[in-house]
Amino acid sequence: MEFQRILVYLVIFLSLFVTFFFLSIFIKFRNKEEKKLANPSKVTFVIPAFNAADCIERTVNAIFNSDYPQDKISVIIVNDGSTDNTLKIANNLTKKYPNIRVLSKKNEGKAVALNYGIKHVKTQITVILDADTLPKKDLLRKAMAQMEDKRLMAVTCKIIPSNRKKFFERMQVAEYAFTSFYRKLLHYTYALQTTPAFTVFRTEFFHKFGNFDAGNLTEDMDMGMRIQLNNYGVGYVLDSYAMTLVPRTFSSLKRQRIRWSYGTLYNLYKFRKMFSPKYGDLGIFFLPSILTGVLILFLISSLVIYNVADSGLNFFHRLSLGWRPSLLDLNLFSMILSLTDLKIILGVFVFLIAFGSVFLIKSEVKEKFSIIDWILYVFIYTWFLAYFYIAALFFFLSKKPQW
Amino acid sequence: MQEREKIRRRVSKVSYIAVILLIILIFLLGMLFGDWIAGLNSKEFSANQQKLMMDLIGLELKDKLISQKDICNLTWQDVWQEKVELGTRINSLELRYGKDNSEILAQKEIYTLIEIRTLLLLEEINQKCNQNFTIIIFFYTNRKNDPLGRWQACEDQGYILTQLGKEMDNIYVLSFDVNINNPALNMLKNRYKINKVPALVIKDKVSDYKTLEELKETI
Repeated sequence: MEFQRILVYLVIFLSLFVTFFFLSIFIKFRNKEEKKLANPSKVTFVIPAFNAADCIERTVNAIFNSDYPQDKISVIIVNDGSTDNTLKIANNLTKKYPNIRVLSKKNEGKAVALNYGIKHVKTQITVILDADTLPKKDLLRKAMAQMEDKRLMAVTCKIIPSNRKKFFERMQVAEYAFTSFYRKLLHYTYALQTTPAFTVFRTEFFHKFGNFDAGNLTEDMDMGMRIQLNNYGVGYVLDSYAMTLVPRTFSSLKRQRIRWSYGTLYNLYKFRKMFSPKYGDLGIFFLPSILTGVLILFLISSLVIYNVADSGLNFFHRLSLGWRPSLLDLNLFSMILSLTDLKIILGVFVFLIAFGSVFLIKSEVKEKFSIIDWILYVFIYTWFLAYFYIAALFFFLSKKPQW
Repeated sequence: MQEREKIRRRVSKVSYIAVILLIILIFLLGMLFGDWIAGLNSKEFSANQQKLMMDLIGLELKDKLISQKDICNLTWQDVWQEKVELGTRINSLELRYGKDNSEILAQKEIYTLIEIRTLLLLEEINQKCNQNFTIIIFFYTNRKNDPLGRWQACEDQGYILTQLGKEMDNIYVLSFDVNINNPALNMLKNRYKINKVPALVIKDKVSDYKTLEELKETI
């Protein structure tokens, strides 16, 4: 019991530490003005497409529907050995829009397809876009505005799920909202280390520091870490977004998240020398907090499961003795006294902070999700994420899983 | 290619220190608040215990001053209810402050004396007023490695006795922690030769652990 008490206090301490530190960043930077785009540069979108017949046209339409000067946009679609009509649709798009080029190659994975496309980029800016991701009209303009900061090598953006009806889809809406807020805070301190579905890059970075790592399960995080390793930054657009399809079922979500978790662990290990004061807050707080967050979730879920199981077993044991619960067993004095326990008081405090954060994140991220969905997200969904991480850790320590 | 301006990394020492101090403050405030509320509860408990002691003494004095048939009119049921409530509260205080807390042990000793006084009163009323209720004296331990007996068996017996009290009328259970070192309790233990726990004394007969069915049969 003593060990459990210490564990609870440790979890509460770590939770509060991480929360308050991020809150301090939010308070410091919340009124920071977003930049305006002065001189639009020519950009080239590189879209790796594998069996993307149902979404590639919509994605390309969205690109040319943006409020960015059309004559400054080029698109390279890399057909990555698709077995459906992707190539045919892509070729048709070259007739619809002037600045589209279609490359075709055998299927070797997203990273290889990206690198193949990047080889053909002639502009100073390369935009990596997933084939099933739809950028909002003003996204490119806002991302390019951030590129005015010369210390940035890339700018990414808020990603929001386009499918949001089923339980796991709604959980991901809450999750992506939380992630967007978290990434915005990281961006303020130049600590963002991932470059997902829509990212604007300076092409020079590929030339100087190499292309996407084909052997890496999360090549986007690898690229983000490489940018940070060389002391450049990744920007983040929060007041626009790109929309993407998220896993609809538990099994597809599980597969995706274990892969992402594995990739994160792999990259944290690969770039382990960045866990150093030499990298400032990134090295001593933000990178360790990725693992701390997982540890906190794992400990909380384990403690709750253990205590619920223990109480449950005790309850059934008492029933086996002939005892039956009744209202007579309730005692106000006992209930009040149990609430005076420090871990209960602090637990309630942490819960209130988490609850308060819902309103903060909703207003900053401007995403719609209900309080019920948030509660389910915090108390159930995140626990699954923690256990996916543990599964990924197991794979990481044993052998690489086959995807 | 001209070298691009890089990010200057820094460690936000002031922020870390401020956050740690804030968390320490929250922990301290939480502790103070919890202790304050618990302290209020504890004071209330002590006051209730004193009052009950006074009530018992009052009843005993009434018993000495009045005739035999009038003893049966004493309002001892209220005293019993208060005692039961105190018993529940002392369990809660033990859970909150720990079984080895010196203040709780002191309160528990006073409570033990209250129970003994209540036992004597009940025995007298039972005898003189033909009440025919059953008094069960329950000796237990709440120490995990007690050589006198298994703590788990004592806890189980406690739940069984609670259930018995709900199902049958006229059952009065008085529980004594064998590890309370008090002359009156020691005398009671010697009277029934208690050398292991859980031990039940029903109608002057000492027995070990009993299931709910066995207790119902005995009674």
